[in-house]
Amino acid sequence: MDFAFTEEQEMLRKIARDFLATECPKDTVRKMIKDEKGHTTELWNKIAELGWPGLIIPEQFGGIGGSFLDAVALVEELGRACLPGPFHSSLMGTLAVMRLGSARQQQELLPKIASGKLILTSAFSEPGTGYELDHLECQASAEGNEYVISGTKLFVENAHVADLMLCAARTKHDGRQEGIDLFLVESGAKGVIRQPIETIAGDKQYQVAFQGVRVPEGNRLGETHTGKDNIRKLVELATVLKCAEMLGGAQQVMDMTVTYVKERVQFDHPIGSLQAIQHHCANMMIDLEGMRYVTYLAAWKAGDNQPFAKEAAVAKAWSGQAYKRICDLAHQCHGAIGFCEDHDLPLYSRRAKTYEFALGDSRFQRRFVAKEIGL
Amino acid sequence: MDFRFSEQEEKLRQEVREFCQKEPPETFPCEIEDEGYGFGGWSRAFTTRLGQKGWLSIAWPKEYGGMGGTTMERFVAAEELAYHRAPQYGHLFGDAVATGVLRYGTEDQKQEFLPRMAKAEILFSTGLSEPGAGSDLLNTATRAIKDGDYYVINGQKIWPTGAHLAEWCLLLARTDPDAPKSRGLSTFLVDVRSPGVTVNPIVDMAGAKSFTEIFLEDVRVHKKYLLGQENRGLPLVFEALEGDRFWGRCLRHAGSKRDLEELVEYVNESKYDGHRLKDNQTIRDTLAELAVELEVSRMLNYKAAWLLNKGASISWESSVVKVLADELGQKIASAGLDILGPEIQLEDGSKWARLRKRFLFLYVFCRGISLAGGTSEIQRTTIALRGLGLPRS
Ligand SMILES: Cc1cc2nc3c(=O)[nH]c(=O)nc-3n(C[C@H](O)[C@H](O)[C@H](O)COP(=O)(O)OP(=O)(O)OC[C@H]3O[C@@H](n4cnc5c(N)ncnc54)[C@H](O)[C@@H]3O)c2cc1C
Repeated sequence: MDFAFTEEQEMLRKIARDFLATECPKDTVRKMIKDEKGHTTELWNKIAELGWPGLIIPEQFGGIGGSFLDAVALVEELGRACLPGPFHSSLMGTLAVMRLGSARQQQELLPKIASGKLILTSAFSEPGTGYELDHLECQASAEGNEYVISGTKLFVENAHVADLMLCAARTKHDGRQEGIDLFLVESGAKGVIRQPIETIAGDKQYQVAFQGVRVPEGNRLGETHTGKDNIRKLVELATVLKCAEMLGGAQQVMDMTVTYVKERVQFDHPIGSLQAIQHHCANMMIDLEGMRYVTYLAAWKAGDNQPFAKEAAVAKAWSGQAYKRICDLAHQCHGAIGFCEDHDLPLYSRRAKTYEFALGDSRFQRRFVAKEIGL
Repeated sequence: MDFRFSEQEEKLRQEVREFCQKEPPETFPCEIEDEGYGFGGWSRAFTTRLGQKGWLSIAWPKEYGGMGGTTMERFVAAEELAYHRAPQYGHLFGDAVATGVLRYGTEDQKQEFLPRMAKAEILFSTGLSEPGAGSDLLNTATRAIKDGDYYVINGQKIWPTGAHLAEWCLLLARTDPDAPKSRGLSTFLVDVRSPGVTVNPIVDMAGAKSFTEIFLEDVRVHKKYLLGQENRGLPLVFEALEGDRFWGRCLRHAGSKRDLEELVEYVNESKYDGHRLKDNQTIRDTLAELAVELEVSRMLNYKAAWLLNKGASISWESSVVKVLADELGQKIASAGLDILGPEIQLEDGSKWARLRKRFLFLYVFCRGISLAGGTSEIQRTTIALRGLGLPRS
């Protein structure tokens, strides 16, 4: 048993932390919330120079060839820094292409993704359906050597800056349903209508309507039909990455709070010497430690090609609530200063709520866990 | 990162599993029933049987009757036993005492105690708390006065678990009343069958005789039973408590997994007001939530075991383990009883009689688990001071 990251992973984390401290200060993060685009090309290019978009892409396609755990280590740091922009959403698309794409699609797309020239996102959930997939309504009907996609997608992250969207739709051949597939749709294609959704964290989420969008047959991901299970697996991977991002954020909230309560003096003593505050901090720590190791367990299993659906659900069920509790207590410890718009804390506490919803909230995850324990 | 157990550890787990099938732990008589800490009841007979297998001393050096294995192996064996509801109460705290003897004991002490502990010829209790020294151990008033080759001990201990069932006790007493409070304490290995020692069981709220009070009147303890240096007992006690928090709580996930499985079985098979319980979303959500928290507890226990196995300190990690385990234990007891419902109090002789009896008992007893071994408030303070470096008040 080994609970530690490798030396290389620790190095990656350190590089990321240092880089983000200078290149992505909180003022930038705040500015990007109000910015329509939500990220700067300059920062994206620097990230691409570091090779992060290709971290898990095999070397033969111009990537670094890192493992899933490497990605988890990095994403944790990105969460700590609240990195804005399309990195996370593109990573999910990258995983889809790597796992499900045909040789031709990989050859064509992965090098571009690795170099940062191609940004992806995914369009899965719909109004009224979350991530269960069974009730998807978006249709892709085969017409000649094209598919015609019609439907509406919700919470498509960074749809405005992504070049390609991975849209999950029910495939129909001659009126016959053939299960769910993923389609690569250019975001500027005719019939794609993107509308921003206001979220609590100011991240860039979109409603995307596909109105009879025509894509060539070759844009269906993979050689055979994708199937629900494969898409589920992708969602599970994304869930683990989301947990890692939340973990990084929660760690930063913990660190900020500890620093603050050691410095802030009231009644002639640092408030961190007061037991009420100490116990708030201890509760944060217990939640945080829990987040850390259920997330790492899911991540390790995923990277080790073991089944990890239950572990991912457990990690997200716990993290969704624990991160929120951590932020609540952090606010209480900070007093009014943490209640200001230009303080760093709200960046995290707002995200904590958004991330709780992302990829299924805790109740959603527990519905799955209930089945897993035999109910 | 790698969360697999080693081949050696898995082999041992398999051996333990087979042992539990051949010699079902529930067939051994218990002196104290399973109080829901996760490690089962107190059974001299079972502890003795484990001693014969060599499983009480897995991680101790061979020259002292140990198996020369690792702490992780010790943990894996305990975890597997806990899942089979094996009664480990009688000896698990011995691990903390043994660690103290191995680290601070003289060669003679190691020779005298460890081989006998390994065979369960003697069991230990821990005598720390006193009427005036609960959370505030520094307030210990029991006195030990040097008299030639002996210490003469006078005072009173209260709450030691199993002191009426164990032969020996790790006892904290004041040897220098003039030194600052933290500097005048020493630890002794005391045979509670010695003249002048009176041990009375106290009936706890759940009706069990689990803890005791000990009166010490001019008890003569040879100086060779002083553990560690005179007046330097406190660090030793803190380390022992660290071990005690860990070994006393690290099996929550394994022990409670069984409880959860049985609740799931009950829910799957039962109806109330004409509705199947398994269709009740609140019940499903509650059980899933417990399953999630058990996983969290499991991983935190593994992490502490991993640290311990490396020889690292678990000063605050053991407090994280304990708070989570205890509060989760209370949640399980409470949620379990809610699910079993009010009628469970009436039913007798039904298929679920055993489950009912268990949860009624756990529900009452679980009030004590967040007190025993240091209250949750004390643990939280430890996490804040040791884990987060916050200033003392
Ligand atoms: C089932 C059981 C088994 C036990 N087994 C043993 C044993 O084997 N050996 C042994 O020596 N003892 C044992 N104990 C005793 C146990 O260690 C003490 O009960 C415990 O340390 C608390 O002491 P107390 O009961 O005197 O409560 P107190 O110390 O009086 O505490 C009462 C309340 O005040 C709070 N409090 C006290 N000090 C502080 C502080 N500084 N900051 C914040 N809150 C504080 C506590 O958290 C608690 O909520 C056992 C107790 C129980 C219930």
